[in-house]
Amino acid sequence: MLFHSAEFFFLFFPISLLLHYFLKGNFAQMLALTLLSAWFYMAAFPLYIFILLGLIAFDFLGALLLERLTRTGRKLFLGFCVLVNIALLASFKYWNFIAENLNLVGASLPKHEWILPVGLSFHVFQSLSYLIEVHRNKWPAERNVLRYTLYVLFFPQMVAGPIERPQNILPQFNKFQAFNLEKFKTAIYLFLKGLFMKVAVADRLAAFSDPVFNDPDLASGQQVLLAMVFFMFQIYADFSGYSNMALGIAHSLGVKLMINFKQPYLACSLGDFWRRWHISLSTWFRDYVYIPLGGSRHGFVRSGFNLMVVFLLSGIWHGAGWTFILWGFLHGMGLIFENYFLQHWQKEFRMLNWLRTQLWVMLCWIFFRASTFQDAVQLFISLFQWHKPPLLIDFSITEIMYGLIIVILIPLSEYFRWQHKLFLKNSWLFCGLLLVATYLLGNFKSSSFLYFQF
Amino acid sequence: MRIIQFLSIVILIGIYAVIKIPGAVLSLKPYGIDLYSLGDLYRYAYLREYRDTTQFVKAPSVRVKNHFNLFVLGDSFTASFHKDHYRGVKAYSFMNWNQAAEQQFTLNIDTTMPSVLLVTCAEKNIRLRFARNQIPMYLARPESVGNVGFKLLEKPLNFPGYLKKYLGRAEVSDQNIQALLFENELALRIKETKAEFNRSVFGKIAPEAEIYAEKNMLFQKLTTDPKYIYMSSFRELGIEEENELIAGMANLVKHYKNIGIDSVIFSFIPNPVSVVAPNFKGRAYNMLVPRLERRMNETGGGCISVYGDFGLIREKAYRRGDTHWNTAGASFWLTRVNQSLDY
Repeated sequence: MLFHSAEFFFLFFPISLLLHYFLKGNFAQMLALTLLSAWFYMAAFPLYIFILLGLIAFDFLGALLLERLTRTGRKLFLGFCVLVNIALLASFKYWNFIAENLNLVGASLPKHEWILPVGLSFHVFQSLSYLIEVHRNKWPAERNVLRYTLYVLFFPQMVAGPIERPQNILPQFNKFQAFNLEKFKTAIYLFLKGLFMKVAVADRLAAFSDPVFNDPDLASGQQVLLAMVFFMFQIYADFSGYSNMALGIAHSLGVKLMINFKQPYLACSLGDFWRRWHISLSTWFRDYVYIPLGGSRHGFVRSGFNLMVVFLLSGIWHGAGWTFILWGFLHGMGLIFENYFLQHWQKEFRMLNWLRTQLWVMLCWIFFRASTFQDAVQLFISLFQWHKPPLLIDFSITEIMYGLIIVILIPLSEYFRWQHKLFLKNSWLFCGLLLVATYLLGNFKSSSFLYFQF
Repeated sequence: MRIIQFLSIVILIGIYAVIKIPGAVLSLKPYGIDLYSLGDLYRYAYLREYRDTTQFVKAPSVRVKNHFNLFVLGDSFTASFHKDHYRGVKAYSFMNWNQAAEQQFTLNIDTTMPSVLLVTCAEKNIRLRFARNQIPMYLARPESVGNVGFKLLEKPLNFPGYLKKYLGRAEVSDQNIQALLFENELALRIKETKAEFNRSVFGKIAPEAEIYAEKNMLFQKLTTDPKYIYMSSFRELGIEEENELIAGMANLVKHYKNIGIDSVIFSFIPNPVSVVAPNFKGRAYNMLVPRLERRMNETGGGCISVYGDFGLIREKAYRRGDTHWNTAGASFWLTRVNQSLDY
């Protein structure tokens, strides 16, 4: 079920809200939210709920056992639990990719046609976060199976994050906050802001960038350039839009989720960019991969190696394909280069640093978005073919103007915090205007969120 | 306050339960909730001037002495007709192409009377339905027990199928929500405002529809844009594909004659754009319907053609904001059918 679908907006969400505040007592509220979350999940592929419930049962019991084990056994058992979680993810998401590549070198592995359960990468990473925190004695194993189930299933963040930590979310399930109009107002603002970004920005820009990325050999240089710029904002609006909607929905239920984006396109270095983009995933890799590998403590070479491992894993996490791996590799290389050569220049030439950061990010998105490596190369070739007849795209001049205005307005409004100031000035009026603008400019027919595929 | 809260929850859950039922929209039709009453293309575009208020009125019934049994394999154009619309019919049975494609079905024939199979197909579906590899889906298994006519062999739903049917079909919920909550005048006005805003500011209308200003009609984009391989009236049709379609039809005729049908008759309903604007936007109609009708003798079946007749009355045969014919078009077709089925 999508947050911007009629089913969610007009029925599921109002029922959830009413039920949540109607029920008295923590157990009843948790039970209702868990059942609603299961219902939410089952709207896509009902049978996959059993996979998720299996994962929940395994990790719940695993954490209880983990807590009782001694040092060596504990480490081994954590390794086993991590392996099971990753194996589940790999069997759905990576098996075909592995088989395809091994078959190229003589193996004959069969491929499957299973559909990837929505948000499996997010569930697995959130579950791993819980297991690792229990292993590190930073969080006790949860005794209440319902609370742990809700930790994994909580519908506002179950399909595309933010990837939460037990410390942040589990205590909030112990006692839900009472209804508060001020907080509810903020929740509505967050939801509408996210909705606007999704339907009036991401899906509008997609109408131009999708045809170009789908037919890179037919597009002209000008079109490729514009599609690159539009895609940069499309993916940001799509994912940050989803995250804001998730934050708003959770907020309305009295649960505060972690912020996933902090104006990434204002970043003046790649390091800064990754502190602002998909924060819940970047910090996950920082806390559970980069730092355990040694972080930046053992000199430049080791630190560079650690960074590269993290970004290659991040690429693989995003998708089973060489283009995603290359995307991760390029970001890793960019960061290593930045740390080695540009460290002393970071605080000066801010404008120049901003420009080179965003240009690098934009170039990397090509590999992220292209369906194949060949398509990505073709996009670069087409980028320099300015005299080629353009690809026929159903996109008017007014729409191009609208796209360009959006592209300029998003960083400006984030820099000057216009939306926030307007919201503080007159919140109901601002929300009303946002709603009207979203309705008039929004494309409600498009399907899913880009990050649902991960 | 808590009573209001409780009642709201109960009402919302009640509505939710209804919208999850497949086909809830259809069952609400007698209560005035009909998604298609203003035209199926209007429902995409929401442009006020294409609201088609002329309701489709069923053609008058024809009653004469029963002479033969009629089986119709058809689609939304012919689904609403019943036995009394056809002259001289004793037993009548209708099978929808879509159902036939999804489930297996049987056909029980009464050998004491002549049996006629009328195969009707909208032009936009011809290339999909009659390709040689598609035909096996539309072949009924012979059956010698039970009532005369088609019968779907419904498989009992297993647990996953049951879950999928009632929980996992977003399109069902969305359609039912539209019907229940947003088919009132206020909601339509709001949708029309948005559509008008997008047309005037961005020059965009719904991607499913295309405007034919000359006759104040909406056409279905699938039938006007040559990039759509199967449905477009302007997609080139090579002789090889034409031969394949004829061969597919011949297979269909052969099968049904083998299981006891005396006569198989084809009737194609042209796309609105094919007869109203065969040179739409400077494109050339691929002449799919007349080309197939000319070669009908090669299939072993008969043909009831309305292409020429519709060419005379053009836009008067179709609804303005819809992909279907209007009462005039339907009556015209029925008259032709009843003239031809003179047993």
